Amino acid sequence: MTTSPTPTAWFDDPAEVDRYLEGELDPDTQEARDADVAAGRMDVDRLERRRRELEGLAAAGARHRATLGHALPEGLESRVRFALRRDRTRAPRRWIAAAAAIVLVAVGLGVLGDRGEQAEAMPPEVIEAIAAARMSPSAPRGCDDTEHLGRLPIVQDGHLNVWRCEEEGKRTVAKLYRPEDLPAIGYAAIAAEGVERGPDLGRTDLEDMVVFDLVYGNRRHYFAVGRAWLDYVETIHPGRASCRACHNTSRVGEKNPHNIVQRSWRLRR
Amino acid sequence: MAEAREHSFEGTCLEFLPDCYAFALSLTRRSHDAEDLVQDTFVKAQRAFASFQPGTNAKAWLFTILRRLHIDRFRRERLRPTPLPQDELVEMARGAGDVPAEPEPLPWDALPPGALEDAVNEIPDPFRLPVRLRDLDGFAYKEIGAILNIPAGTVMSRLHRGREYLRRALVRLAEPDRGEAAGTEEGPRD
Repeated sequence: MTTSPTPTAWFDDPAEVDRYLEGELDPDTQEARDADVAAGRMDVDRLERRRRELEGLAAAGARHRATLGHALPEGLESRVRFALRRDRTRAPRRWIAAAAAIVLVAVGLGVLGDRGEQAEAMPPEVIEAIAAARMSPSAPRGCDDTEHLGRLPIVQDGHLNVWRCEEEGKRTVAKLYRPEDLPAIGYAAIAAEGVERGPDLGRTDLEDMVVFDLVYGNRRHYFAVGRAWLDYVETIHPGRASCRACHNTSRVGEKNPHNIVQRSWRLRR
Repeated sequence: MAEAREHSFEGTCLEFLPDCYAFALSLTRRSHDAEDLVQDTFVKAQRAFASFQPGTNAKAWLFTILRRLHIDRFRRERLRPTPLPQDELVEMARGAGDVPAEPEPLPWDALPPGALEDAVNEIPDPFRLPVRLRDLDGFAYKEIGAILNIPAGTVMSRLHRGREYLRRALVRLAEPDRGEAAGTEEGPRD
């Protein structure tokens, strides 16, 4: 026959003492423990010391909460309010966007027939870029080097991640990969200051996404960004939102080195 | 009607923006990530506001959404932190519990501004969030359990162990010279 261990009294368990002192018990248990204390079953001095300590902690916590508003990053509240407004206005159209996405995928798979004769077929990479952007609306940037922070918000927002950043002559080059662990897809070039001519930049406008494309290193790269984000940036840097999609605000005031080509894809390969 | 509901959302929830940002920062430890997480949390909360029960704790509701979003991101990015082995957790907890039977009172007056948050941030991960949610954010045990999706007993034990780490960190911050020496000899492992 085995004997079960003697159960520990609640006042010998510091976690239970805290629970009692913080009023986290149901009324019956609280009352029973009050009775234990009143009957002198535990060291009252120890209980009072712990009570004072928890009260000190609670007061310090309250002081901390009173200062939280001052620690809020500048612009965050307006950014959130903007996002909420934007989301409200877009909500009724969300099902349309979902339907459009299905159509796009179908188009990418060549399911639908011709809808136009003049334009080029939409590259499947455009759809892939949108899918990547939708799958990962937010992910950490890959470069901790402060020199690169903010240079690729599209990367910061998780559409792509930076594998590493390298200096090539006057250019900073970021090697990118998709967050879902696909192989690296190539490089994005960030023109250095003073460069007068950058590569042509393609722009595809969709309902809720904008896809930029550019050629670098003999490969074309596609970057999708949420239209809501671009619209938000436009309110901060009028006329420079598309720059901000790939570059940071250091580009403000510089001559745009890119020729932007508006894409009009045919909906079938 | 819908507009009134939207205004009600902002009226109910936006006052907790600073709390949400502080919590997001403690999860991500990077300000840009925290800002993104907060924005996404509020957008998601607005869409789900119909499910919020008036009269319940809106801050706890927002924190629950925020933490779930954070976990979703970890899963998606496969950057989930490696959980500590159970025996190591037990050993850490045991180490943290090695405090004198009658510890001296905490020197609240000697603590510099921001010391409490600094001290909380020194607590190892398994114990940090319950302490943060209780002592910085003022949540009840039950709410902490809901936010972190852990049983009440786990909240209680982690909170207690975490507070022992907190105590040591606060003593060290109040008296850096003495605290460093003490930390070298018997400070908790992390």
